[in-house]
Amino acid sequence: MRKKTQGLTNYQVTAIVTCSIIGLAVLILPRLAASDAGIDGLFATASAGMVSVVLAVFIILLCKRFPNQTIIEFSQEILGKFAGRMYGAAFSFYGMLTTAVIIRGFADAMKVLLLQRTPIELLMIAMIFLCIYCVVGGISTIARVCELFVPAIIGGIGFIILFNLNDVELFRFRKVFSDGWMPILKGILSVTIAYLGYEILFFLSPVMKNKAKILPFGLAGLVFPVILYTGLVFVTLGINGEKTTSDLIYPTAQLARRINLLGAYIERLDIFFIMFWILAVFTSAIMFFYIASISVTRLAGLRNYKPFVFMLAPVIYLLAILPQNIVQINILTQAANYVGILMASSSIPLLLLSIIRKKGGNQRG
Amino acid sequence: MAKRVLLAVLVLPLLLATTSCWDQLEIEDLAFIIGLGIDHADEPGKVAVTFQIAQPKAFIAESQGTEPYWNITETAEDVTDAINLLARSINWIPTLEHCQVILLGEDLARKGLKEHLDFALRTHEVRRRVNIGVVQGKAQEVLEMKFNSGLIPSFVISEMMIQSSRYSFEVTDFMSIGNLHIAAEEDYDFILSRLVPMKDNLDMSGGAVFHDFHLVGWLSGEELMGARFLRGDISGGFLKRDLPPDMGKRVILRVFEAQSSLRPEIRDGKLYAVLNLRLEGDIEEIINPKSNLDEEEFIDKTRTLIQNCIEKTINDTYQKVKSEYESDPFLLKEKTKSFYPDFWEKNKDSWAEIYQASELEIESNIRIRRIGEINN
Repeated sequence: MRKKTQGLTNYQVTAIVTCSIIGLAVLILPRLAASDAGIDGLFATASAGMVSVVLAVFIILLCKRFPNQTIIEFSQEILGKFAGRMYGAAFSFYGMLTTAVIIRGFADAMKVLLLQRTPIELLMIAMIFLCIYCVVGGISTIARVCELFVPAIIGGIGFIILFNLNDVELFRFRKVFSDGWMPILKGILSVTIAYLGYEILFFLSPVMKNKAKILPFGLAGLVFPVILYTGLVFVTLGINGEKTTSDLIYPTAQLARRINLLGAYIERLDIFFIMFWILAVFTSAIMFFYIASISVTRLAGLRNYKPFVFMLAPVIYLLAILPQNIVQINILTQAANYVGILMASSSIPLLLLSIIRKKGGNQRG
Repeated sequence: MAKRVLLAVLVLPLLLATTSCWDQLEIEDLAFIIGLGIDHADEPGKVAVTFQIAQPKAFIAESQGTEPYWNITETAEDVTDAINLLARSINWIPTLEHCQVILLGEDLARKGLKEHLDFALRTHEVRRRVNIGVVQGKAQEVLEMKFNSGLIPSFVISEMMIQSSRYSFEVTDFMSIGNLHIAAEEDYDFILSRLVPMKDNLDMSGGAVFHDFHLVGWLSGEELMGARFLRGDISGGFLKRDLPPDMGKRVILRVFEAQSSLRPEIRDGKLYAVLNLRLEGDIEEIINPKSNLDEEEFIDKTRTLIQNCIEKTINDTYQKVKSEYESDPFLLKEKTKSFYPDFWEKNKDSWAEIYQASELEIESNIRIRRIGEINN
């Protein structure tokens, strides 16, 4: 029997990137956009998407120079042994922190929106167990899960946008650009965090079957998030206006709750939206869990990352249970987001350094 | 064997994780509050909240005769407090998830709504589409009315609001809790639907005009029609117009399509509200037609008559709401902010005067398509 060809297909890479971007932030995205940019949040969201695409291009270009290595290994080549290891440690810390933030944010939103009496410890432990189960299966399992969930996630959010489109009051958008550039820039800064997740591209090149195709198919993973996010912000701002949108903690759940089908016979569709949203949260959590465990493994110079998955789980749980109230959760989330932006934009100096120091690029994979 | 034991030991903890929902609630344990009436209580500073609770048993065929609902009134500091009091006196858990309508008593509405809004927005139980009405009198009275259809009053009221507003110009369901939230955030005025309890039925035409979340006055059904045109929430309905003696007595137009949009225009520092409206309709009835005009002429004349009539109604409503109630429920402020951000920045402190000095311009386009199955 012929051995099956290993590695991820092109479409799986797209699915992984899409799934890892769309996650927790979907629920709060319109608030992020509206609170800083007001009605210009629409433009800020689209531009933040473009910024993310540019960052992703840099990540891919960097990875193309080292097609058989992950960031943890080739950063040591570029930066030298010590600095590279520090960078790798930062990456694994970022992975853990973001997983913790996703899991805590998920549990908190579930507590408000769906399961009021379930203790969040239980929600978090159940979610961590699921993540362990999936991550231990390896990147091909993760890829197949994403492949399976991508249509559901996109469909779920697309449905919300489509059925609310009718109530958008276009006159609100006449005001765009009237406040100058500052709010837009601020908005771009705060919406960019909603797109985080494409850092997974740092790790995909070695496991991809057709390494030459990582650029188009990796970027394709950003297309749906940009469209869906912009659509979501458009609909929320158009219906609620800027002030109300920034007042709502979970504006997307409110959008889902507005939908009435067949003349009010089918209502309270937020439950269905939350179902799809849980899928999205799950897929982005496993991605960061994977990032965390694989970077720790590679830092230790080992190949098999599976034992580390189990070792990291308690750490992630501890990080997630740490904040005592919504304010502290927000601080933790902010921290994770800023580290995330740093990590994503670190690809630019790394790429420059690798070109200057003539590392990578010429090796044949 | 050892493997099997190990497997069993491994599987057993799974049972703990797969036991069903933590938040499980049997439907029999829930008291579904389907309608809420908020009135001013006799005690100062307190509200009397009337809960209309569905009786699930009444939906089962065998238990005919039991009332499908019952009402409980609790006097408390605020609505959440009242719900807590309610939980004390019944053996079910009150839930607002299926709340259809929130009715406000006139006294309460005049005192202001803002402090009673937060509970509905903060809890995830209340939908943002819940309809709101103001009762001319006490909200409790309406919830206690008997309807011939034998249905629960809350259902009847919310159905009436939703359905009738599509077929009648004189009923509105435009404002829901979600829209009230927007109004509170963006600070604009609004019109809620008016409910007038009669001797044995309910009149839902007309509206309650609010300014700064205080009820400032009422609109009749006809005036509400004008307000709906100005607000742009209009779908269809009937228009009545007396005819001059040579044409007959009266004509009724069934409007099947109506669109309207209001936009502000600033000319020489003065605000003009420009209403663009388009109506399409068929003639439903002509009372005492005694015309010897041909169809074209008849349609033409009727069109002009109806046009004048509508424009007058709209203009009267605009003037009344603007001058008498000093309220701006037509989103004119919002639209000016959006259309002319620079103008707004400069003049936001003197908005009240600008609005008072504003003028309404109507560009109407009325089409009469058919005249029914008989000639005049």
